[in-house]
Amino acid sequence: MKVKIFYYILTPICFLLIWFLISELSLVPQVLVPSPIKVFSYLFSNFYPLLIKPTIFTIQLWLLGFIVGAIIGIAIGLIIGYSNKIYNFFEVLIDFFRSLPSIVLLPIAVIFLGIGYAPKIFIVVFSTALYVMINTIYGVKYGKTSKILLARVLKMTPSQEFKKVILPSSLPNIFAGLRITISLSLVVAVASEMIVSGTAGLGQKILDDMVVYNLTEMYSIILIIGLLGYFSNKIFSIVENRLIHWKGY
Amino acid sequence: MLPWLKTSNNILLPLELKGISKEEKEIKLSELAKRFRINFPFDSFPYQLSGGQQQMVSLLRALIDDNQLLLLDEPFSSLDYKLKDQAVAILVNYWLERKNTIVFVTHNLEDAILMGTRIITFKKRPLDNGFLSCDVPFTYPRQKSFLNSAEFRQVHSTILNFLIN
Repeated sequence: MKVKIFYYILTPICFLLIWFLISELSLVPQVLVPSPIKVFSYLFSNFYPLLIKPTIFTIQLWLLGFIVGAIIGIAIGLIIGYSNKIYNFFEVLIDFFRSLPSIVLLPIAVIFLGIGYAPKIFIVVFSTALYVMINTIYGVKYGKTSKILLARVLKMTPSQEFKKVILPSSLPNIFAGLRITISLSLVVAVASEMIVSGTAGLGQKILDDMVVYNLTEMYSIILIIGLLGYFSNKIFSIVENRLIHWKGY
Repeated sequence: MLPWLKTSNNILLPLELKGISKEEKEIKLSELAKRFRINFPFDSFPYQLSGGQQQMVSLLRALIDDNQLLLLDEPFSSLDYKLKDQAVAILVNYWLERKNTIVFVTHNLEDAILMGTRIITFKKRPLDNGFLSCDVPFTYPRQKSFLNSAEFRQVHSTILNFLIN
């Protein structure tokens, strides 16, 4: 544990140090890679008021899309996973859409929903729902065997079987799906902002910065997005380990 | 077993499904624990128990509800020798009180003769090779010393002969 904490501190410091040296020694022109000191001081002094709005905007798109998508994904996943017939019917479609990068559906969403918020939230909801659904399906199907037999032996009613066996036994997979999609939905949210303008999120801002060569701010935004992704994933891992204490049994 | 439920709730699951009150469940559980001399904590989770203890939990779950028929497939296979002897004695006492039907699958001939009223012995592919049904009419409780008696040896050799030939 102590060793782990040591590396948690050491590795980022090494990374920042290399970044610092590349910039300070002008291995790469400073215009292209500003020093981390410059980036961090920009971030601290200008996050409020310059970056707070786009950050909140992106977080809203990301988390709203994630929550709605997760609810839809779990609900549909439970139904499809429970019934072999429905699963067999949809299997090809699910495998097709799983292999398709969700972001390529964005143009279709724009055609139907216009530019602005609607196509972006749609695409975040869609990709989240898809992957949460797939994991939920596997959770339900995987948990079926011995534990379902127990439910039958104990003569559980369908609602008892669902509440006491199917739902809890699929929770580890559902949470695995949520942990994947909390990161994925951030990717999709930012990417959709970069592709379709018209909203004031970080994805839009980072492109604007690229065009006007405001690279210090551009790197600051990358840091913000990276930290959002990192900590959301960490929080999910911690909640998952607390809640799904029986994982693997 | 359901790994997200505590050991006690796993054992009480059949009663829980019937909507039996909390007090009554607790009484039943402590009775069962006392009778089977359980010494592992009920507020643990099943995966924190050893293989033998987990097997005992499954057995207790089957016993807590008064079932007319119990199908036990090698229920004592993960128990050590001493624990198994204890479990055999307790199961026999449990059965003597209720006289319900228990089908007990085992590879241990001594256990079968010690516990059973009737032993059905299967060979490989019993439909082709036949099987042996053999009554064990001796009185209960059968002590360990019973294993040295002539009656025991007679049943034992009958079954062994069937298996060898």
